[in-house]
Amino acid sequence: MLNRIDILNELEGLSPFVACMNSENPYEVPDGYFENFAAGMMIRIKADIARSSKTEIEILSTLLSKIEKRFLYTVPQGYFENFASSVFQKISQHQKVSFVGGKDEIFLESAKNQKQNPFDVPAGYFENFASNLMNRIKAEESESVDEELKNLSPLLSKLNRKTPFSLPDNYFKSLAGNAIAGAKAVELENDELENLSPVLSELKTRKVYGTPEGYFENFAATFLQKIKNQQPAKVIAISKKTNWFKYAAAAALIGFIATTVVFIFNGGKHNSAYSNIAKIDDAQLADSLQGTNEADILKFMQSQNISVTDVNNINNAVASNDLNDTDADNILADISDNELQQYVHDYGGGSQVPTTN
Amino acid sequence: MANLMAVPTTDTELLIQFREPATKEKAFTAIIKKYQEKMYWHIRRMVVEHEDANDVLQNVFIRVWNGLENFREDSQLYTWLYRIATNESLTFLEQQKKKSAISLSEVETGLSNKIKADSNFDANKLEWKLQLAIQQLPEKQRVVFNLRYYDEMPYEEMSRVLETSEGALKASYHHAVKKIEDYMLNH
Repeated sequence: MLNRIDILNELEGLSPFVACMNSENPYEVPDGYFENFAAGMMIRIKADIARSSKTEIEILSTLLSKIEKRFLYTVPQGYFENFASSVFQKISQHQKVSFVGGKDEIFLESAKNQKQNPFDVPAGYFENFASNLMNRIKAEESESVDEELKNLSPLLSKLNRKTPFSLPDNYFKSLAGNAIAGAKAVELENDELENLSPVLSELKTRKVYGTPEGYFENFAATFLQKIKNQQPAKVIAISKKTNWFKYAAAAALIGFIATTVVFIFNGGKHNSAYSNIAKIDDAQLADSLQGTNEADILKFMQSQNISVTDVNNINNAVASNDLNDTDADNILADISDNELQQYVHDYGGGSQVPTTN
Repeated sequence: MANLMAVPTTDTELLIQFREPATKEKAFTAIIKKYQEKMYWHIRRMVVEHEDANDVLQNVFIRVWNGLENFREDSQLYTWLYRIATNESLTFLEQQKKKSAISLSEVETGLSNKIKADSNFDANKLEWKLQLAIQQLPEKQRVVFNLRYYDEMPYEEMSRVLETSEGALKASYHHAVKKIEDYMLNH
């Protein structure tokens, strides 16, 4: 009481206005609040320490704990199965991406080709993989061959294991006898040869050619040694000089022939017929031939050992006493300029011969 | 074609696959399939109608698609999903209020009407009365009650979802239960 008076005096000293106000509590409290507060607190404390939400709700409200938690609201059929694809559609609307695929797998359209697996898998591989693997595991764990086969292939395990191939009657029974008979036949053949020709029989096994002692044993080592010691093969290069030599010889020969031809055309003195004719003056020839008949000419030619061919050649030579450029070209057409130059260099005055090419 | 490769089931594996460009879509599809129903019912209990729940749920997963790359894994994936779903539901309800220019309590009345409009509604059945009672709760208290009562979420987890202390959540839940009981006894 004394304390309250002191506080009021203090308040009046601070603010007479506030000291005059009604100090009654303006807030209202629900009916029975304080009476039920202790019990309510105990319930809350028990609910706080409850181990599960189910126990908690049982403590807090018996009524609520009895209500069945059922989903009362209905959902359109297939809503959840298709929801993922609807989300992707909405994403593609907001962003500049597009997705393809179905409810099982959705991916970016730009990655569609990348998603496509280039490898082929046998039909039904993945569908049967698990069962095949289980069969293999069982087969490995099986205790007998029959059980193993049953796990690996029920079909094979049902098949008759009898080999279907047929055999002649009494094959195995007569096999031993046949083998012995065959051996005897061979022996008989050998004996026959011995009987018919002991020499041949002996020659069959006799070694005719002799080999040095230890030849076959040391052959490999000897051979390898020879290979190591082998000199490198001599390489003979094809030189141009050789080729040139051949060409030069050919050119010389051709040049010689050409020179001969030229000589002939120019009335060379090597031919006896030509030389004989060359001694005869043209005027003298004309006078002597005047009034001469053909028979007499032929008679003269025979006495001088001049053939008709020679006459033709002479005619040609006389007809064209000078060899012009065209004739020379025709005669020397087969001879190259280099060959002619070489010939002139080797056998001529050394000066360059002008060529048409 | 069936999905031939084994789909990872743990959230950690899903996150790893989501961060790989080659498996991003597959991982995201797996996340949707894993959490779609849980998220759906959490949202539907808030917004009541299926069409609204579908819109909110899609928005939730679009946010997941955009944000999962940067998810720091400070909390569990489903905790993060619940948080997004809760925020999206509350945002939806707020937008509904703004659209119709009515108070939140009138929004709640609207939700009660939607419950009553359901084809299977039966006023005599306690389950339906419970739904009506839940809609009378304030939004956050409604969330707390749903998470605890229907999803049986531990307070510790709920604390991370709603970013509220465990004590406050417990108090909120206890009050919610009391209110619901009173409503059901008096209606």
